[in-house]
Amino acid sequence: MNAVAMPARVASRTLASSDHKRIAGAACMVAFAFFLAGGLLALLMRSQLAADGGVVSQQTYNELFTMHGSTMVYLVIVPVALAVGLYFVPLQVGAAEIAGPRVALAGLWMLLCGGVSMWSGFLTSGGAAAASWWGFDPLSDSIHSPGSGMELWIFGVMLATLGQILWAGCILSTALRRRAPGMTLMRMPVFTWTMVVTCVMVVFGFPALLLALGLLWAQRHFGDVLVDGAGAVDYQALFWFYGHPVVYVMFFPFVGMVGEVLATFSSRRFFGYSAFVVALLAFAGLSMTVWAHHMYTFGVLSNKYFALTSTALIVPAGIEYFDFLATLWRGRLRFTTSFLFALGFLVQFLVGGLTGVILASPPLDYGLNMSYFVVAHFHYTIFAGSAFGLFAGIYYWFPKITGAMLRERLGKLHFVLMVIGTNVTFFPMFILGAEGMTRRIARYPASTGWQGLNILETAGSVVIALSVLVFMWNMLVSLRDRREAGDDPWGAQTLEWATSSPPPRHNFHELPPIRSYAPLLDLREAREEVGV
Amino acid sequence: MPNTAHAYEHVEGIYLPIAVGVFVLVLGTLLVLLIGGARRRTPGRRSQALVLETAYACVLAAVVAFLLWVTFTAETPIDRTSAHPGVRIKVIAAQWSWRFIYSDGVSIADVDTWHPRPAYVPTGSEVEFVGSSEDVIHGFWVPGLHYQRQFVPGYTTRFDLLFQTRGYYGGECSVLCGEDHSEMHFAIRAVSPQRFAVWLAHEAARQGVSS
Amino acid sequence: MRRAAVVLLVWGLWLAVLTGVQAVFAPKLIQFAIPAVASAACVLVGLVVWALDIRQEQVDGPRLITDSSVATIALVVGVAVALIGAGFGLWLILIGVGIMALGLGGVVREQRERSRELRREGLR
Repeated sequence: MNAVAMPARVASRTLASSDHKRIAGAACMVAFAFFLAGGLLALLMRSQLAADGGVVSQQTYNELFTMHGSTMVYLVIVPVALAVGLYFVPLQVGAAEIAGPRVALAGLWMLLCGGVSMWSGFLTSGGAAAASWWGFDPLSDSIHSPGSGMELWIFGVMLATLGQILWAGCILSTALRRRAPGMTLMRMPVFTWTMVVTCVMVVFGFPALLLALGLLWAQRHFGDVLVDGAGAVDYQALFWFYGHPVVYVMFFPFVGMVGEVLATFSSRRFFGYSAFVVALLAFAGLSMTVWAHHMYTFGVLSNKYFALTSTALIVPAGIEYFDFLATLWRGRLRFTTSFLFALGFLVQFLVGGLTGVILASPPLDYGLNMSYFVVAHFHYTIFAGSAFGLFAGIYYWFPKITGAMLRERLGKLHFVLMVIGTNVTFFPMFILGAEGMTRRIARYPASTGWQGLNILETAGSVVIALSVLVFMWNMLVSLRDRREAGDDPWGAQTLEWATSSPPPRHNFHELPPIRSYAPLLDLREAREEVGV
Repeated sequence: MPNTAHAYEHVEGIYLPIAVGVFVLVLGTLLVLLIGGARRRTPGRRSQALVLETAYACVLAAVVAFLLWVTFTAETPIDRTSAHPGVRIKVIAAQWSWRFIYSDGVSIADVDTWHPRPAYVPTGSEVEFVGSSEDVIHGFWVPGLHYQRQFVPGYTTRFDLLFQTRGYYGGECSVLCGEDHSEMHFAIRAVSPQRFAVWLAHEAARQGVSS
Repeated sequence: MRRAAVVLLVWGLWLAVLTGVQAVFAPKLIQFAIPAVASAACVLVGLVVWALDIRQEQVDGPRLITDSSVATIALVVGVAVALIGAGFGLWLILIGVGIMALGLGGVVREQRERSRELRREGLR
């Protein structure tokens, strides 16, 4: 497979490149910068709560958690989840490039423009948006959130989301139309399947956010769009129709990474592939119908229906966990950093998932909604869970992307610090929530006795910050003092390992035969049988 | 009688042990597999078990059905409102305080919302709250009774609470409502029905209202 | 490609079934309408993909890969500026539209160059 590359006429290749690998790499760097910024906001928030007020004003605190949540969802985790798919789906299906490369480039710039727009709010006289990452009406309307910070937020979120929809279209199109000969749908790797399902949710779920934000903007400028009562309900009904699939967009790609990592470091193929694919599809469909469990305490929509669909999520989730554990069964295990992070994901995500089942029950949600119990729940799923899956993927794929291995000792230090940090920060929040601590408060009465646990949580957040510094140090050291990785340092199973590290512009010089979802493993097993 | 605290404790008493049990089961299985796999030399080849997984899915579905039965039976009574409540209190939320208005016109409102004057209610019978908001969404949360409702401007939110034991119940605004969201507390004091009647009459006289 | 259409169709129908279950629970219009629209959209897309029967792109010979596109960046920045301009004033919208026009022109130019290059390399 040869290709003719057109010469680039511009100096900056990275930000204008239509190579899906460079676009994905740039997107990850942009997202990482936003992660550091959002993390700094979190440290500020934690100082405020440990000191029980006095660090920032109430209004500023509202801006801090609004921008922290908005940054982490719209500018970090969703973009990274899609960017890793942008990089690896073409490779995993044996394609030379992504479908619609300039559309993918457009998505990168929408992320950048969107993020800049949102954060510019801090430079305005009224400050950044302060109506939470949901931007819910009527708090976010022109009476209660006047000022350009909210406008910049609305447009920023719209741009970032539009970019994500474009990316999802590219990835879906690649997986459906650019597969190499021999790669049927049921031979696509586990990670690719999780990306396909993720992108379907993005395409059919994310437009609801664009509609909600459009209505909000119209309400701010013309009024009488989101009329009292029904208007507030309609905004959140639309928002959460996006807002629930988005948390699965922040889950499935990392599930896919964990699947690849567990299989590779168990030296055997992923268990229960067909059941897993069916479970994924069922899971994604269900996830589009559970969204109003965020609105139980309105008492307006059919709580029982949403309790039914939300609780039913246990079935596909249980199948997926079964397949993860069964992949470890009778495996020859290698405890690399990547593998450790995958194990961490399995254990810690489970805490988030089980507390999610608790919140899915309206009688329990009536008592726990909007409290620190919920804050703990979603940080366990997204940070102690998905972010661990992301690091499993990073330590796994860094050699492929850069051609250099990450240091294992530093990686294990990173892992240990992050386990300690996430649990010390977020577990006490379950207790505080059960004791009646509301979320989004800048201070609390001393008589509640909550300060002790808040101080503990802040200590935990410092440990998390340390773990991030260790990770950054690992990347720096590994790139400066390179240990060459070669094509396939792990003895892995899928097509991205059948090319150089990093891959050439057109991805592959030649492809091995494709007979299952683990083509390289098939080759190795065939050689063993022949006695090579 | 709809008893929100009882519904919560009953459902929690089933959900929490199951959640902890599942966690311990998965963690235990994981540890066994890891210890076994760390010593293995040749990996196994079997990678499918469709019959087992289908049976397992059916077991999970049965667990879902059980949990839903527990939830639905506990939820139905507390979602209802009584036709003849003992007391009816209007609650009006506004940035950033609460106003309680009794049927005879007595009203309890406090600017100092960190140590608010409590609104009294009688124990032993349903107290119907009729909630509304004058500006943005506020959340009426009584952690001691494990219950909250969002007051959406333009809607009237009706719910019943049953205070079984006498005492002081703190309340908070649970929905972000602007700058002083953290300051928006309220308090409810539950006393015996006799003491409540005395208090109400006393308040009516003090405020110069009549039923 | 027909199999991909089947995946979309089945998924859209699964969504429709789940939405239908709402009928047992006295749903409000808004909670029913949103997933109904989404599932209809998914089924529609599946039907379109089925009907078009878009074959997989099988490339036997060499293919052309674009390298970079500054015009795309201009187009996106123009859209962003015009969008933000909706909150700040017509002047900003016009600036954004101007940048968009430049970007669009650039994209058209890139497309023409691409076709020229393809013909030159004998790939068409």
